[in-house]
Amino acid sequence: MKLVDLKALKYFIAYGVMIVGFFTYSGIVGKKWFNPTPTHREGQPGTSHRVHGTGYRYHK
Amino acid sequence: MSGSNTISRCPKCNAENVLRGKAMTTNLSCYYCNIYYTIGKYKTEMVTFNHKEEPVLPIGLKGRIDNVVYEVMGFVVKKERRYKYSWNEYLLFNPFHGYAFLSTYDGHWNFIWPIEDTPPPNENDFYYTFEGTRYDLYQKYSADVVYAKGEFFFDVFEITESTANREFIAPPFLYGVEKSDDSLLSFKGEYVTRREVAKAFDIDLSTLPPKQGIGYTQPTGTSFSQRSLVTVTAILIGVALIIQLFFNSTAEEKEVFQGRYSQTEMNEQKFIKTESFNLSGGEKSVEVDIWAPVSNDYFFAEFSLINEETGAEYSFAKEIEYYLGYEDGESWSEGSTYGEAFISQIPGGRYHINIYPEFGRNAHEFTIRVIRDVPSNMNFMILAIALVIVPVIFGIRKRVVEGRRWQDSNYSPYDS
Repeated sequence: MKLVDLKALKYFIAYGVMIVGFFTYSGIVGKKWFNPTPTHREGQPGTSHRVHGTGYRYHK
Repeated sequence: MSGSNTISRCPKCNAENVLRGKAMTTNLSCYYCNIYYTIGKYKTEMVTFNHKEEPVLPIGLKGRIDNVVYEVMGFVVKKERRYKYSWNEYLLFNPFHGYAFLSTYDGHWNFIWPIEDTPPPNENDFYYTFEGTRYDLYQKYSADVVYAKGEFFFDVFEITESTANREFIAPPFLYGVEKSDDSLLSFKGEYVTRREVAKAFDIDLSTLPPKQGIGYTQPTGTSFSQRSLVTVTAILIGVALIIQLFFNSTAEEKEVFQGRYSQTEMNEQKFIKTESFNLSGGEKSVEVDIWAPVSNDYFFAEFSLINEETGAEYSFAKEIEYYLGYEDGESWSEGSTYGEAFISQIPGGRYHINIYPEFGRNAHEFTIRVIRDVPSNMNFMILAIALVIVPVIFGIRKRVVEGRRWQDSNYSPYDS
């Protein structure tokens, strides 16, 4: 592979490194990119929204 | 010879033509009556044209190409003998650098210059390696001159009629060979855009013929090889695979809770609260596995994973159904008695789960198991697709573009 090819591919390499970086972060924190189990999160710092229309009843 | 080194008298109209090429000019078309003649030859050598075409780069126009100032000396329209398509060539001249050509077809331009001391390709070669670059055979042709204007340093009719031409391409470059019985001329060319031609000769871009299709040496917009793209993609996927294997081998996959519950235990309660359990470490995944002994029945439950220290809730639902039967001599079944829920990014802490079950007709119990730090290969699959899609699209585009580039060639590597 020539150096000039690497230069020409810099945007693709940046794209790839970004994806691999996010993949690594996701692996560390246990994040699934497309999770078949929709999960509603409430009561966490910085998130105060509620999902309307659900049948969930919370009993802490 | 009629005239001096700088003046040639037309053998037909007797007008005096001032020669731009001075003593180097051997042939010209009269600037007044437009017949083509060889200086010093008799009238029988004169050529008149049925075709007439005005060059978009006028004779005498000067332009700067690769920091060399060239003057347009001559203009030729050539027609290929077999397929009858025609193209234009401009003879350019610089007193120190000699002559070169600008060739144009369908609005695409190539700057072409002679090269010396190069062993030519063999007659039947389909590719030729020159200066470390592979050039693929694009065309073999013979042509006739149908129109000439200006001055020339050789008899363009004689040379064109007597030569067999081969052109090899490695866009944006071309390598050509003109071979006759007693001569061999090699030349190299490079694609130049209309804009570059207009800028070089300081003329308005709109005066140049519009571009049609893809020129046979036109760059396709990428300056890297497909092999390099595939290599980089493979490296990125390889790195991701190593990281994935690391995650798989280091994941705890620790069972932190298991419980079995039945409808009878609930009494009048609407929900079941599990015992508390600890989730260790920072943010990690949690998997909740659910079993319900359903048969032609379903089990549905809403779950709320609750952090007892922060009050944060993670709510999800899961339905399990399993149906089976015997129909038309065959057994069938669908669904499963098992289901799993994957919850991303759950911080460490003390948790319990509130379960709101909805039992079917037959099954009245269920089991859950909570596992901490479960790796998922799904992200890797998505990553691989997101990376591979780029060379795939590139390959498809390249094939389409290259197919169009080679569609006029008898030697297309894209013909199936």
